[in-house]
Amino acid sequence: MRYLLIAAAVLGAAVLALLFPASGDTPLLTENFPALLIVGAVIAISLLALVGWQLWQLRRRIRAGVFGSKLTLRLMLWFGLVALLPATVVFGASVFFLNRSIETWFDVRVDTALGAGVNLGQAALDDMLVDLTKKTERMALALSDAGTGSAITMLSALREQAAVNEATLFDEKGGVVATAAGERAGLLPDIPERSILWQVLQEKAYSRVDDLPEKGLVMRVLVPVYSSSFAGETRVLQVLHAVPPSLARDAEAVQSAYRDYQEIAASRLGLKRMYGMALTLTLLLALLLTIALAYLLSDKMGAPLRTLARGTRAVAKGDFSQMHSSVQSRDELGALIQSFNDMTRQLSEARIDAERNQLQTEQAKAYLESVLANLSSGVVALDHRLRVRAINDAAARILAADAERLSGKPLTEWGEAGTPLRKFGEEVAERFIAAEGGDWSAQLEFPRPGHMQILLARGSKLPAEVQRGYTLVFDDVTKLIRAERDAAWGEVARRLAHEIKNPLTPIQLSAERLSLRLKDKLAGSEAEMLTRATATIINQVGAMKGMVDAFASYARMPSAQIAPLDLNALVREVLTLYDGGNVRHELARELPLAAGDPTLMRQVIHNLLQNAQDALAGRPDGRIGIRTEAAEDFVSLAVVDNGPGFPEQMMVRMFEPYATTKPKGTGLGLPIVKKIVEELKGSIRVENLSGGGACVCVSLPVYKGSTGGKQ
Amino acid sequence: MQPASRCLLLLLCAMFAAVFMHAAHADDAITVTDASLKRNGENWVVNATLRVNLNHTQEEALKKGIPLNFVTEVKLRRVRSWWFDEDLLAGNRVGRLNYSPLTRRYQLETVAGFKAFDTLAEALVELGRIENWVVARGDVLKPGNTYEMALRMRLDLGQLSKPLQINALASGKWEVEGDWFEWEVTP
Repeated sequence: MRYLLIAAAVLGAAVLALLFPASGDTPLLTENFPALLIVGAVIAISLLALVGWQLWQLRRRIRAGVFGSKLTLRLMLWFGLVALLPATVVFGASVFFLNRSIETWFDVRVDTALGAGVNLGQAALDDMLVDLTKKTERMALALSDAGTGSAITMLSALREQAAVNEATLFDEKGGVVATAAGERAGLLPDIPERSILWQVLQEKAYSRVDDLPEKGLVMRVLVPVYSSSFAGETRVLQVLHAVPPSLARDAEAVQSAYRDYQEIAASRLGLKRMYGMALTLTLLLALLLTIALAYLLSDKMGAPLRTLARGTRAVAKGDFSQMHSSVQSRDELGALIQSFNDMTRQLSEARIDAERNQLQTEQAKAYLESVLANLSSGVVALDHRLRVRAINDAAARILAADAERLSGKPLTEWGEAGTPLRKFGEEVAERFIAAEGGDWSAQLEFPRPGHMQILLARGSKLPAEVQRGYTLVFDDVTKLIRAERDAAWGEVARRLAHEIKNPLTPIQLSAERLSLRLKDKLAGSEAEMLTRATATIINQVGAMKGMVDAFASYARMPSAQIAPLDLNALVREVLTLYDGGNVRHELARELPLAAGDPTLMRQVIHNLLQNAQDALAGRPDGRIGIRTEAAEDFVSLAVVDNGPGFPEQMMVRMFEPYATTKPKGTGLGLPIVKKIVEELKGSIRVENLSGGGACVCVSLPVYKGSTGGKQ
Repeated sequence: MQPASRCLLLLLCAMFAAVFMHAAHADDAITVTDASLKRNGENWVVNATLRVNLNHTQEEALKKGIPLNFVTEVKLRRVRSWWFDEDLLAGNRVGRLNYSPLTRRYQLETVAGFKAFDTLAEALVELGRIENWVVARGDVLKPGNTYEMALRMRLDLGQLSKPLQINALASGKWEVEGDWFEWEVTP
């Protein structure tokens, strides 16, 4: 398009350059004036079409919402306006001065002067013509009496006398009678037209000035010559005389000036029109070129702005990759784009930094969170008003609570009123308040269904500079404590067995010996007393031995030999030893093989049945039920009775040695059961039934060894 | 009425007006009263009489010393009933009418020569008289054929000065263009 414009400009300039001289006198271009006008008009129309096309393009772009197109339009309009104003002013002034200057050519005085000049010339010529007529009439008078012979000589003399260029005498029919001419005249006399001769013969003198093409101004006078001698024949004398050259020249000059002036005067409207057209065409071409150029310029000027806008939009969207090295401009726009690039680069770097930092923070946080989540300790972060800010999975698991529901709640509002969770929360809160910002640690009890959970809780205040708040860390130490206790009891049992069992045998032997030796030596009531005393000693020692054995067996639990175990068969085998009166069994069919030790499990069953029987002692309606079940991965064995159940205070310490409710018993039954079950990687659960009675449920894993499978 | 159709109607009116005005012009302009093509010895010559009328504008211009150039044109065509007519020849000659303020005479310059007249009417009569204008050699026209001859005279605006031409083009008062006078010739 740029080349198109340049071409149009060059062509337009050429046309205008030709157009203006064309209004002058150059004949070649004069011929081509309309053609030039047409070419100019064609250029103007093509420019108009170009501008129209540009405007249409612009409109389409504005419709399409192309950024910067409105700016282009505005710039274009401004450019157009800026061009239009001076152009119109110059055009108006030009037209005005053109009209004025053309009008000034036509002055009344010049008009009058030229007319007067022509009149002067006419008058001068008339005078000379009158003069010549008079001379000719005199010559005619002189010739009227001359005969044919004398006419030639007389004419010559008369011509010389009258000082005229040429004198010719014609007869009535136009034949030349005589002629006389000066040096400059041609050989042949100038013959007038027949109509003139005819006119002269009708007694009308003829006198005219002829403007002959070669000879210039020539006066011609014809008069009749009345001859008395030729029988009334009338002859015609013609006298030709050139107007004096100086006068002729001046008269011609005046005439040509007059003609030119008149011609120009007649064509002044045309001149105005012509110049007006040329000017209008110039204006049109200039304006259209300016507007077309304005479009290009505004497009070019708008380009960096568009680039900038595109960049800004990209940055707003978060794309920092838009670097505009393409715009190479040294002006402010270039500087602007440079600054924009700098800004974008800085933003980009800042964002990358921020992202890196955020990533690091997130990684650290994730690391911490995973550490916390995988921590077996429960961790609760609290704010300064003891509201939960964060709680890890372990804490929720230990407290058997939903972490989601705890977060944001104050410690004292955990769970429902009266629940262990609420009590735990309140206790912890009290401790925090009591510690007054210091650290504290305590062993707290948290009852869970079936057993009491012992938690070791530590509270501490966060350093002030981090964020005001507290942390609560607690561990489920139930198993640890139980293990410690178990270990302690085991030690006690071992020592008891060792320390007590040793003296028992000598005591028994000594008592037997006393009885044997003194039995015969004593008589009567003394002998009887001895027998009774020794019997008591021996019995009690025996009982003691049994007790010690029990301790020993608790302390020295044989390691389990895990083997496939058909629990149903084992139950049936054991039940044969009990009279089947009050023991009912309910065995599941297709019970999978359990992973267990038959010997140990037999003891478990024995112990449980024994416990049940003990609980039912003295109750005629006592019933014992034994039941096997298959769960998903477990095989469970439940022993149920309808006795009084376990006392509530016993529930917590059920599996501790020597915790017994029976008047006679080692208190080792359930601890041994539990120990065995734990050895077999099973679980045990004790609960009181709602309708009275107790249920002990032992679960063993399903055997998954090489020979595993269902029977 | 729709603007477009109104425009169309206006245009039609303008065209009719133009046609009528043109016709009116033709009355004032040059008419051929009589024309003939004759054999004169070896050549074919045209003799014709034309009536030339100048309107006021032209007469004024002439009296101001602006020369008027008249072009007389002839065309000869052979009439062919079975095919398009054949253009045989075309010719023209120029007559220059001029007024000399100094001598107060009308000067006519033609191929026949230079003549001066006291009145415009005389000059126009002379301008309209065409005598023995040799247009073709004898063998161009063959006996037995029908020929069509056409003649007209017009004012040659191209010879005017440019501003006057523009005036002439703009005003339409300079259109002096006779219709073609056509007649058949059978040698």
